[in-house]
Amino acid sequence: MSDRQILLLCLVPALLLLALTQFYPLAQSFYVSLHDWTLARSPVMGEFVGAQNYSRVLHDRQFTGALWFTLGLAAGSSILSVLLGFGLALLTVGENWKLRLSRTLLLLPMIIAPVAVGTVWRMMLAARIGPVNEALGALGLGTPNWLGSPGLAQVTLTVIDAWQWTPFSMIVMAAALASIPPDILAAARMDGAGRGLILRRIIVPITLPIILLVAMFRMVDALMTLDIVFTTTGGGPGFATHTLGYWIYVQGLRYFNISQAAAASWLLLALCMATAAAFLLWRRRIMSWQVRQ
Amino acid sequence: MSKTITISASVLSGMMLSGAALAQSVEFSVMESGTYDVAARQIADELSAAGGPHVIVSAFPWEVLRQTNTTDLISGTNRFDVMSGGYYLADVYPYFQGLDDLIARDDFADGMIPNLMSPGRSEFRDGEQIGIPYGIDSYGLIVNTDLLAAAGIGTEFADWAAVIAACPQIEEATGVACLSHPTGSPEQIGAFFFSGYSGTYIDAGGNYALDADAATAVAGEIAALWSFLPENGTAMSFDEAHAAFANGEAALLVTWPSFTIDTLDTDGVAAKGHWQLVNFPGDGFPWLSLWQLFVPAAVEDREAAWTWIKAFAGPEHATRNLIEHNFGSVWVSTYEDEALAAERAHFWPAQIEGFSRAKNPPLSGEAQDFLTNTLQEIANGRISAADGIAMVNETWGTLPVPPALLEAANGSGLAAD
Repeated sequence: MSDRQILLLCLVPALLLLALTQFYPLAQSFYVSLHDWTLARSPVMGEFVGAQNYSRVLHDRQFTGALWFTLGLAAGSSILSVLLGFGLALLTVGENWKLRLSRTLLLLPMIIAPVAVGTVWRMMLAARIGPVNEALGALGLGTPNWLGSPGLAQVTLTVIDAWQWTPFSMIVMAAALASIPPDILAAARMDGAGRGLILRRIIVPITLPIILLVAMFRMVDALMTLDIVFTTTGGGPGFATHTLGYWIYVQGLRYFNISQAAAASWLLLALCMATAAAFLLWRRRIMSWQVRQ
Repeated sequence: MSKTITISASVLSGMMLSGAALAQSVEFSVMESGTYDVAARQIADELSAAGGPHVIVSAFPWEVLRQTNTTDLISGTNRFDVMSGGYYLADVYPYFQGLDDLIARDDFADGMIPNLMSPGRSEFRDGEQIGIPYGIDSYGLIVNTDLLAAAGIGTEFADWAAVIAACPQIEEATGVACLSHPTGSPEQIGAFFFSGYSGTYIDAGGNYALDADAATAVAGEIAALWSFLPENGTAMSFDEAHAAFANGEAALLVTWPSFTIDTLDTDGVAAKGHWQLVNFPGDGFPWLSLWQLFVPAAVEDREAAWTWIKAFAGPEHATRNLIEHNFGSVWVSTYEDEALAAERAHFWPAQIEGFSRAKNPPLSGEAQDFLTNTLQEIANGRISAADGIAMVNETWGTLPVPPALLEAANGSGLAAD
């Protein structure tokens, strides 16, 4: 047996494990999505209904409402966290102890469990007794109804999500910034380029592929938001902050409409894959353009 | 040889003993509230000391309890022998066993609040009782008598329109908000609707449907009531809503009375001595909270489960549970205690009146969530009352009515003939 064959043989257990833990559940959920099955009515799967569950989900007004809100939240949160992450990375790039300490402290939101993040923010933003509004009131400023007003609750959730995941953007971009050859920056400075020009003409173009990669991860992650919604607003007021993840959770685990939840999960998976593909394509074009330059 | 026989006999008797102990073990799921769970542990210890089955009390927060119970049944885990729940378990009624034979054998319903063990009030499946009531509450309207007197308004309100008419006068005369309510718990808005709406919930064809005109009128009233909440009051937790009333920042409080009555009578609370529970407004019904005990169909030792049910839900500990743990007794004898009645004169009459009228809406979790979320949309001005109710009827038309709820609706007059 050749070395290559031995190596391939060594991969078999891992591949089998992957097939068992990843592909089997996926295939099973797709199979369920093509059948009529409400667990509360019967523990046995019902008849084959084809794409009926997909059609029903796509015609559900609450699902489409959740889709639009999820897209808004994902886009808003991704843009915010990428811009803030990039800014913080610029401010904290370097190797002295103060910068290292700053980076460590700024990472904290990311390592807190999202459920805890939601609970803490819900208490902080309680409109009548929360510390945020107490502070604003003491300063003579307005005291918004952060989680009780439908439009504002949507914005608030977007900001909370961005707050939690900005450190992820920061840490990746700090690494990207650190990898820029110092010679290039020094040469630009010697040629008389100011900070703004160096940022626009050197730093941003060089790190753009990484920025797009971070944006892709953030976007896909935000499309699946559930925990923060669950702990801050419970999807309310009314249906205002239902995300796709929350809609699927409610259908599948509260009402036990398991086949509809499976269909919606596949639609969400398709959305995430399309988003990731679009970003990767965009990144490839940028990189090709950079090579041509 | 003799030693081997001795050891074998010891092991065998040990196994038999542990088998007997296992057979007499009951696992009970209950809400972690500092009331029901504490009472359950107290009674479980007493039962065990008296030679009864060993009861393991597993307590969970409400939302977790609901999920744990349903998952335990549907997945066939069968961890619990007795479950604590209510009408919101309607989706999984087929997984419970009927208890009519045990109720009849021990004449268990004798002495309970009249009609409590009837469809629409407690839980049935295929005509057989599956839920045994043990803790009762019905939605209440608590008023600050001083603030209403200052505004020249009486303490009784026939319907929500009367409250809406009185609120501007109350706010103008007292300078405080008219109404407080736990608006941050989206399902609670249902209390206003169920009491204001006097129509049916299921049409003659057996499908969910509201009388559009009557429902739209009530939804419009709810939107009007929301304008009398305290400033930034559209997402108040139970604690915030209760505190607003207790501190004298609101003249009326619409909530579950058992959640706040003890606090309102605490020294140092502004509302102490200045509040009263009054009859709940509306021609519909006050929302009933009736905690019941259910035995899953998979439980084999139903005698052990029934022994626990009798100990926990029976009349023996009902008054103590009320006094020490503040959960409403389902037994008439508790309310015949004159000393208690005198002490509770500011809320017992209205509470008992509420118990006699209170019902559960015959709605599955999905149907009820859709209604209450839509009412929130209406109250927050995101959709008109007419459009919202039309949306409810449209969506309800696609939701199945669980047979047990159709049975309950027929029994409680909430289904069209």
